[in-house]
Amino acid sequence: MTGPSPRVTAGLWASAAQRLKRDRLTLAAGGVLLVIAMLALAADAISDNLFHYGFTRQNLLDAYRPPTLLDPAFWLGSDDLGRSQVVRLLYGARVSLAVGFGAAMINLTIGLSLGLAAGYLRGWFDDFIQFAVSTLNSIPTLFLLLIVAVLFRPGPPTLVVILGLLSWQGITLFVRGQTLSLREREFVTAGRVIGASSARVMLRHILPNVLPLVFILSAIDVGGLILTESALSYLGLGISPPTPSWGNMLSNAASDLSKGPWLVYGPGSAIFVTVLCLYLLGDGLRDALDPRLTTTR
Amino acid sequence: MGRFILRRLAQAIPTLFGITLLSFVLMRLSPSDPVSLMVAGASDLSTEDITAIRQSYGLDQPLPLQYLSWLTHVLVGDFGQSFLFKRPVIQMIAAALPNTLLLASFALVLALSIGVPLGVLAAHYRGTVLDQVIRVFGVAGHAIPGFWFALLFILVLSVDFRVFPVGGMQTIGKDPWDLGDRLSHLIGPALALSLGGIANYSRYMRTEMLEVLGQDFVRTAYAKGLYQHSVLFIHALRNALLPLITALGGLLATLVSGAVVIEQVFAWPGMGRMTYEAARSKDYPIVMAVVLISSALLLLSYIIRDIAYGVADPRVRHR
Repeated sequence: MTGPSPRVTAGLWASAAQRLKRDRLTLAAGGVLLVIAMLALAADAISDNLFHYGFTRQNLLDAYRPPTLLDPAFWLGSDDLGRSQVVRLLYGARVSLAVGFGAAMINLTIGLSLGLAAGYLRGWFDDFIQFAVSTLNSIPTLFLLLIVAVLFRPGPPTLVVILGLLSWQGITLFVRGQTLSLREREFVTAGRVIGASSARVMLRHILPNVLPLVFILSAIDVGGLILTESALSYLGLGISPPTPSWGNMLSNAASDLSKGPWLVYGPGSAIFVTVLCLYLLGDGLRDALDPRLTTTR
Repeated sequence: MGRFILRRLAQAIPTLFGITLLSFVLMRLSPSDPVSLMVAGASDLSTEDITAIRQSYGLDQPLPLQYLSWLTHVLVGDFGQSFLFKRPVIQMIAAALPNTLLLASFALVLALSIGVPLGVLAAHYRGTVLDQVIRVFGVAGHAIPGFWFALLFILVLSVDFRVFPVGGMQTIGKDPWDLGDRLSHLIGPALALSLGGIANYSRYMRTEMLEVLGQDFVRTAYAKGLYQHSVLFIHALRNALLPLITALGGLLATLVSGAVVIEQVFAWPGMGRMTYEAARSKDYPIVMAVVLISSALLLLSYIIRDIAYGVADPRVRHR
């Protein structure tokens, strides 16, 4: 890309990239997320080569060791079973990110298809979707998750599916709204006039116009899903030990606060920083892509 | 106005029906049926005994009939008995619900009384350091896990400095009407619960105020020589507050959900904690009842919100 020439208006992506380049906060948030993702991916290699300590390895003689710089494995101290906090944080990143992104992929797929269909076809299908959304929105999310978690005792993959199946309302409503306004535009009428089928209009003409903003919404969604997963795991109903997740590490830390206060700082900050970066990235990208939209949420 | 309220109430009926249907289906989808949970541990029961128990609960009936009979019981407030405590569920909820309502309403007051002024300040001092700080908080407060904030609160203010109690609703042995003691127990959980709401409201309020502050009547108010604070807090704020009623619904939903975790951290004897403990011991008459009652309350608060909006803005009524 050579940058916009003064006479030609820059395209959607080019002008977004221009605005993004000036937005240091968003870029920084993206950078931090990239680092966290890479650390999570390389968790095996890092714990083998740097810390020489597996995430399940325990030694009661090393229980509740405060953070020390002398032994890499105990940089962030150890927990009640003498497990290395820093190694478990790395693996926890893997779990939290995988659950967040996985569930977001599911609710994105559901939200896009239902939202497109409801907004374009309208009629009884739209009524039904609206009914389903208002019903799900009236049940406090965590209560619903609590029931499902108790009934099905999910492992990580099931948890991803459950979280995805219970969190599609926001994206559906957004896509529906966008579709409702797009379907009245000339290019859609033009497509219909030359005989394009409903499916073709939805997928080739409307979907590409909705997609960019939906991806951004999805980044914010991933943050919310990570928070939900951590709360569930904190309650002992999400990811269960010995698989480390930031939420269940905090739950473990809370069992004896005064013995290992350092165990509270790590996982919590990890959740906070990750979710914060996802929110900042989402807000920043949205502003870059569509400067008219203010960041109200 | 009366017709508007009636219409809004009528709209809630299908949703309420949907909630009961969803709860029922989830309950029946469960891999383990209620009777096998009830008799777990009683190994001296024969297969015939278990069949008899199933019959006595009507579990051998077709599903739609079961749903109808369950629904008629629920409608008159009969949620069955707790498996674990052998007490009517409705009594247990009646004991726990007021505590949660106390916590949630205090959190709501905090969210409004801190979040709204923050947003007004940020809008008034737009572009300054103060604005930046409030905006960063507006995102950060949303990203902090409430239960982690709660743990930090306990760790620093209760364990290290011993300013606040570690948990519970009151100090055992103290006069239950000792308001200072009650309040010191309430502040931690309410703050942890309202953090997201404070952040949300400060963001929302900032945007609304910026919009209102740009309008002509604000300039007129300044021009006729009104004090700054009366322009800000009387003229502008009133106009900016209206859209915030909409945000109230989302806030209530997060408060109810958040209470499950926060009550657990602070050992607050409310509905959230009861549900959590019931869920862990698979005592699901309690879980089902709590879900239904809290959803119905949430639905009711949405209706009240919409009516309040209709009162405040006549255009909504005729939509």
